[in-house]
Amino acid sequence: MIGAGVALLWVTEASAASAAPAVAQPEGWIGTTTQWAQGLGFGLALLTLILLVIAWRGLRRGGSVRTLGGMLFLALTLLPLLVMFVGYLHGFQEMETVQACGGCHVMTPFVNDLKDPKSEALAAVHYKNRYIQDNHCYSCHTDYGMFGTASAKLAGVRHIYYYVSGRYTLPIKIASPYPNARCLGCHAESQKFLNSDGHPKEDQPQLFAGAMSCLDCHGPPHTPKEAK
Amino acid sequence: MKPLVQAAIVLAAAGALLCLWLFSGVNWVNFFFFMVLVQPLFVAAFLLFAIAVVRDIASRRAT
Repeated sequence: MIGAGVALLWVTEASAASAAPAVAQPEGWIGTTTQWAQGLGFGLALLTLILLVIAWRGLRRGGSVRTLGGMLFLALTLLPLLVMFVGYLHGFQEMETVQACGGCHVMTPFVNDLKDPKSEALAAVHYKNRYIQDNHCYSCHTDYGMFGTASAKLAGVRHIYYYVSGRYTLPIKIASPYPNARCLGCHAESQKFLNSDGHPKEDQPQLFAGAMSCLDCHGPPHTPKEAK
Repeated sequence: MKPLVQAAIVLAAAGALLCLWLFSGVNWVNFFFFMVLVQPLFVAAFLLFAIAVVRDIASRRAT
């Protein structure tokens, strides 16, 4: 079972490798946490299913709850708990990717613009220069701290509801003004920001207080061409 | 007892299938089902199994 999960791990690794130029991995590379969570979760879910089928057949052949107790306890109590835990771990991680955000067709123009090397929109500049390594949408649209993560997840659930129920209007717009704190979380401590002529010392308090928006000078954040 | 356990098996199997779908590649559809359906399915399966075990113990004590 775990073998099936590890096989899936290799398949996903191979497909990831074919999508981008091969980069030599460090000595002893055994994959990412995400790939292992996926492989482990798949293996555990498959094991649960197989034990359930065996237990079902055992019951049909005259077995009792008592004789099959150990297997039933594993398949109905212990393994589901493990599968749920790994599922949350893997699911939440994967829902932070750009691919997940682009899963709804209304977001496709934004993702296309993000990935367009010719685009000069702020998000595209961050993407093509890899100012953020991955999870680009999530990194810039989540507040810092524990509650930031929680509120971003809740917003994600709301977005799914709006998308499924069709309760959204085009063009897609950000729900509330973009807070400077999200930019300053990375930039505030950088010397490039602090010593830039574009950020004179007398203006910095206004930027930190949010009285002046970063996007006033650095926008637009997105230039989706196909958005209607 | 058996029908209860069989129902529990069916519910847990449905939950495990949804989990297999999730682990074969996460997207918002299967993650939504994972969040909304899988937990109730597994909890319901566990409860049915627990009821079957309690009834089994009770019947053993009675005899």
